[in-house]
Amino acid sequence: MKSNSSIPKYVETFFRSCEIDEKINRYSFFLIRHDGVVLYHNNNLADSLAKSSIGALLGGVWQAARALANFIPKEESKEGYRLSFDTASQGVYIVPITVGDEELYLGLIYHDEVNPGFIKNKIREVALSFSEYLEVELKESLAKKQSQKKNPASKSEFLFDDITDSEMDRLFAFAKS
Amino acid sequence: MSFVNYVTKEVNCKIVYYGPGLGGKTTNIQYVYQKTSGNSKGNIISLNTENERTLFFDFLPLDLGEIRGFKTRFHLYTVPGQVFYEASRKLILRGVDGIVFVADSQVERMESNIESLKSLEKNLTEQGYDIEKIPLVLQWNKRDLPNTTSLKDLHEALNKWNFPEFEAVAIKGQGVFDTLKMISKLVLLNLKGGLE
Repeated sequence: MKSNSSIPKYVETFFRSCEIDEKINRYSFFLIRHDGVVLYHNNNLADSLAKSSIGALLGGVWQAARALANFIPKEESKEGYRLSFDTASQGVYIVPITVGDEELYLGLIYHDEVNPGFIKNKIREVALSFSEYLEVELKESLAKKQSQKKNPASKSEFLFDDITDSEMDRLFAFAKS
Repeated sequence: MSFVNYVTKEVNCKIVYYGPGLGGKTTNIQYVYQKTSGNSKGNIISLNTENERTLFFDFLPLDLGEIRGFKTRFHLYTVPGQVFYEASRKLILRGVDGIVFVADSQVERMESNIESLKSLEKNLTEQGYDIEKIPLVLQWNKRDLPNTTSLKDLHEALNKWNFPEFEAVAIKGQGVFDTLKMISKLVLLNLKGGLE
C-alpha cells in the first residue's frame, strides 16, 4: 500500500473545521494509519508516547480481527466491518476509512456511557464525512503529483541520504549508560 | 512503511525484531526500555501467554530526538518466535522499515535459526519486499553461553547477503544498542521523503 504524505495536512484541516458531537469529544478517539501510526487524537487518556502504544494496539487488534474474518466463508457483503469490544457502558469501537489505496481507522475508547449505540453511530458519521472529504482532497493531490512527475525535481528522493555517525550518536544520547 | 508527517515535522519508523523462539527478541527491547531515560520512551506493551512467551507482539515507542528539524520516533516490535504463530508474524511485518534478526548462537539452535530466517524471507516476499533491499541487521545473541556456534559458521549459514552483524549478550545489554543504532541508521538512510 502506498502512503500519501499529504494526508496529515487534510486530517488537521478536517478535524479543526468539523464539529464533533460533544458526547464523542468527552471520550478519546484516534485516527490511525493501518500500521498504527497516530494521525490525530483528542486523547484524554494518556500522554504523547502512550498515544503511540494505543495506536499500535488499535492497529494490531484490527489487523488480527481482519485476519480472523478471512476465515468466514466468502459471501458478498455490501457492508464493511466494524470492530466492537464492549460492555453495556464502556468499550472500544473501531471503524475503517478506505479511500483509494489508503486505509485508516477511527477508534473510540469510551466509558460510563448510557447510550453506546448513539456514540457508535456518531463515530460512523464522522468516519463517513472524513472519507468523503479525503476522497475529494486526494484527487486534487494526485493531479498535482502527476504534474510534478512531468517536471521531476533534481533533489534526492531520500530524506537523510548523507546522515553521519555523529548525527546518529546524538540521536542515541538518550540511552543511560 | 515509514511515515513522514510534514505537518508535525515527525518521522515514524517501524523496526521489527524477528527470530526463533527464546532467542532474545523481547530481552532486546526490554533492555532498551530499561536503559532509556523516561521522556524518550513510552510504555512497553507486551501481549504474552501465561508463561511470559510473546503471544502477539511486544511494542516499545522511542523518541530519538531531532534530526535536521524532524522529530524521529521509532516503533520497536517483536514477533512471537514459536513456529505456530506464523500468522501473527505476517501481520506484524506489515509496513516494516527495518528488521533485526536475533539468532540464538547455541549450536543446538542452528536449525531453528535457519527455519526462522527462511520464514522471514518467505513472509517478506509475500508482502512484496525484497530481503536484499530492506534494511536488515543480524544479531548473534547469547555469546556468553558455552557451546556456541562460531561467528564464521553463523555468517555462512545465515548471512549470505552480508548484512551488518553484531555479537550480543542481550540479557546483559551487550550489543543491544549497537544493533539498534545500526538498524536505525540504515532505516533513516533508506527513508524516502515523498511529497510535501
